[in-house]
Amino acid sequence: MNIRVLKKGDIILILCILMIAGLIFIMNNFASAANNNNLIAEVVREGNLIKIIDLNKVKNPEYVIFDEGIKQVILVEKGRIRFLESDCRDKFCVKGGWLTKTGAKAVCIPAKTIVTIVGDQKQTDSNTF
Amino acid sequence: MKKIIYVLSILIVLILLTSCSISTGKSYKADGFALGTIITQEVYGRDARQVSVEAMDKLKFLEDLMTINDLDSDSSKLSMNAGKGYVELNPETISVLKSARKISDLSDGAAFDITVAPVVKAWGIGTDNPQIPSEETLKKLVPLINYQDVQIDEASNKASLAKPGQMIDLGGIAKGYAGDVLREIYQKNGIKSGLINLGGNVIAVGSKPDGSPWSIGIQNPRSETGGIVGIIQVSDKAVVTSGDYQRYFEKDGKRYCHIIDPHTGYPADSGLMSVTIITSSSTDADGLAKAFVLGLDKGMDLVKKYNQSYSPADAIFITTDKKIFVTPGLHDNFKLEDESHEYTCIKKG
Repeated sequence: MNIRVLKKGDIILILCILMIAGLIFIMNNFASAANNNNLIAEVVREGNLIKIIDLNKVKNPEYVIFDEGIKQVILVEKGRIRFLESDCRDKFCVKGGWLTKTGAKAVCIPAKTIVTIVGDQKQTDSNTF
Repeated sequence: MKKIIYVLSILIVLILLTSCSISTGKSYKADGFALGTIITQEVYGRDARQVSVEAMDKLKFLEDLMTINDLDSDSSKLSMNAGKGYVELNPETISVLKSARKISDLSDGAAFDITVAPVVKAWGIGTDNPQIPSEETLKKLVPLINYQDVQIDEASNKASLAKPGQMIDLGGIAKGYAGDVLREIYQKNGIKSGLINLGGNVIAVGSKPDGSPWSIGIQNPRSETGGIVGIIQVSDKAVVTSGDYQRYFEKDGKRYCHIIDPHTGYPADSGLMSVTIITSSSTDADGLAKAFVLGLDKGMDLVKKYNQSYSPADAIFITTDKKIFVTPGLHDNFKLEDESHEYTCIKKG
């Protein structure tokens, strides 16, 4: 292909497309950067997604309360979430304390409740225990 | 005409550039409960969701076979017919019994023995009423422990327990076996990249979608918040840990863990807090992790023996004085990531 076959119009067109591509690229990056500032917690009980909370947007402490079956209270504060109370036997879920980082997870096996901070910026892909 | 070609070619390039992240990102993540624990799956590829559902169904099937909490399970059938001859079992159960035998043979039953069940029951660790059994009780029960009394007739899918009163507990290997079964389901469905966590047993299927290995955290045995002490990178491997912190009870300031020493009938007290095994077979890794019972030196010897007899295996032993010993295959792989700053890593020859 010879470059001289390109007319002025072609070059302008190519430049325009490149600019649009550049804009899309920047917008995508901004969008993902914005996502990184979100700290999204998910509360799942018995396979049902009960609540999705953006932890950074929490102003006053909030509670997620389960009265049926194994009674549990989950406390949500700005930037963090934890099991506060649970009627299960071992209370591993409560002992686990606050979740603050992406990928962090607290589980109550008897109550089948899972609290996860979702996202891709994790320290590890999975943990052995 | 040329213009159209230019525009089209540029558009095609743009589409390719922006869509590549979409085509590799076909993933499905699922949490669920089975085998008495939490199951996490991360599946990449076509039909990822369907594969994860098939895997969960299979886990529930295996749970029904292996559980000791159900009188209709294969485990219960075998135990209830102890001393009464052969009973027919599901081929999957026979397969687990065979694997258990293989791992028990490596240590002559010193580390891992599925017939430890009557003693486990007497301790009640993991139940509402854990207790220290009397010496008399243990004197009666310990002689019942002998993995060689599990007789397997593979051709007819039958097995038996030699003496009345004997019982089996597959809790030390069933999760491991399930890991291998799930990996097979993934592979059969063409999944080349996936990560399975069965209550702490990690099975890495292939590598990450971008080709890099998975990074797996090793739990700090004394962290209640799930903190880690180090990270290893693995592809196509099972990573399984046994520790004194998973289920235990405390009495008069002493910690009694759920892993029973088959020779003494007492919870293992060998100077170790955890043992992590990294090898291809998840079943074998689960059984080998009971090297925990043997302590550092004999436990390391067991891993070496497996290496020589079967396939490459690596291990991470964490002692009660907070030293982390890693085998040669992990010298360049294990990365100390210890927020508590209490642990030191020692590279074992």
